[in-house]
Amino acid sequence: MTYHSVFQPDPIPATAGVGLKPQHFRDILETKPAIGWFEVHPENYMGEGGSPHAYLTDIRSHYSLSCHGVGLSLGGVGPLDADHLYRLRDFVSRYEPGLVSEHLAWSAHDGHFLNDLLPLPLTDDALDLMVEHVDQMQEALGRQVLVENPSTYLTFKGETMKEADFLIALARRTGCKLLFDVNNVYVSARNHGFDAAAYIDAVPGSLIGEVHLAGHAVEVINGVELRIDDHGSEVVSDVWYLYERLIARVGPKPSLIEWDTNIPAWPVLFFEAQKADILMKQHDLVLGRRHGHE
Amino acid sequence: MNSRADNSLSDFQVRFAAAVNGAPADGLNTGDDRGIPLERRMDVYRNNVHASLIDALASAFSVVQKLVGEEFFRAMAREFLRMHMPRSRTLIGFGEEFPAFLDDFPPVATLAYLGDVARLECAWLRSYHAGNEGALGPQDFADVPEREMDGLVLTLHPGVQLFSSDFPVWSIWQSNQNGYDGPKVAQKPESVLMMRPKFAVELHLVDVATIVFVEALADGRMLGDAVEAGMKVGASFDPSRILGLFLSGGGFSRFHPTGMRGV
Repeated sequence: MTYHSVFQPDPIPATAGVGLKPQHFRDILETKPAIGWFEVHPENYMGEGGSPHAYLTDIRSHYSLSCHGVGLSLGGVGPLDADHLYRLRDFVSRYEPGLVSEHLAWSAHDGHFLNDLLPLPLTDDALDLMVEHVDQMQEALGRQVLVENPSTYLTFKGETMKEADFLIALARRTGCKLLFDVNNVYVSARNHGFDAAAYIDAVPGSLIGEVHLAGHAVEVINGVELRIDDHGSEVVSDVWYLYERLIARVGPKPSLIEWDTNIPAWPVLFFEAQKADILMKQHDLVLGRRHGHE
Repeated sequence: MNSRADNSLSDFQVRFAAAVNGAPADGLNTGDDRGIPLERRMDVYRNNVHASLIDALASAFSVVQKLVGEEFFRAMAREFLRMHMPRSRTLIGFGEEFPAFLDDFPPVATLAYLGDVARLECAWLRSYHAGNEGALGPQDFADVPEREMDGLVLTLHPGVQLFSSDFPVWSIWQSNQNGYDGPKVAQKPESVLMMRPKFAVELHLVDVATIVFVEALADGRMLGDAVEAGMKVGASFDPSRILGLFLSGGGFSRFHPTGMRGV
């Protein structure tokens, strides 16, 4: 089915947004909180109709929306799933999201959907594959997309690039932008022992279209910490510091709080987003002074 | 595509997917484990894949989970995944094979009704996600002359679902909703009609005659014929009560007159 949207495409503002959860539909519609935008996984709205679309349509009529896919498996060998690409295109025409993003990851194999963001060895071959698939995605949707850095638990021998360089090359070759997940940088840095701040500093601000922030869990195995990206708690202070470091350099960006497990009451999530807004405002003032705008 | 890329990455993804499903992770040519055994690192991916899919099944089949308990349900869902990983990239519709799996899963052989309870939950999900169409109310029929009513062909709203079982599925479903304080469930066949007024799925316990009546409408037969079919099955079939239910529940999306007189 082809949808003709009733919505005008409106851009995502450089302010805080939150990942939209069904648990908060009513709170949001009843209180109309002063928040810049919401983000959804389109896969949760690929039914024909019913309550999920009714709520999303209502919320979309009051707020800008960002579409953050988890099912396209850009890093999977073989062709992209045509059915899924059509469904994604339908979603985009139906809701006119301001941003559309996917991941540096694969999530399907041999016709089966694994429902997780699995890692790729960062090699020239993997880069070629991602370039081909991002090109196809942008062509099918007729728009620029964003690609997100993953949180990872394994590295591979024979990798030829650092993740930041891989993503920068991907953006340069395809014209896509990056969805820069600061928590993922931190989780991967702690799990693999690299310098998170150096990664944060390595990505040009002009390539960053959106930022993600989330909480994560810590598991201790044989006395060694493993950080697990579960989106199940508040953003930790180390991640806020990295975020501050990022926006101090690149200025305000659309910044999303993701909270997908142990989902809190709406005010808790809203407060988390306000923290990001406050940090962006503070740094905007500092940057403004530095650049003599005051 | 670069064939070299295809070969080595393809090989990697074959091995990785096998490791996610329980094969050892060595052979993936992994880097420094920094003191955390490779298999424990791999377990994060294994757990993400399986726990998220089991969560999706638990959410789709919440009554089945209540009936067997959470721990048993999760172990059973894991067995289901061995044969039925999702094929679609959206999990809407995932688990359609679950009822048939339950029919044949030996550890629940004594719970013969379980498969049908899962079928009822599948029907609920189909109703919940069905397309949005307008719903007719009594006022929409105001201009239809009485004598032409029997000749109407009514289109069921996509949210209408029917399910008949040899087991008391409606009673089981009701008694497993929060706050249930009714009688114990007795063994008997039950039929359920679902409608979706204002996006909330409603379940109605109906008799076999009603099922026959609704199936006749779904087949595109005229209202008069459908009523007759219902009457044949059950002497107590009350068409005006059922029509009232459909009009208040948004069960019809369109009608068109055939111009034929009722019989």
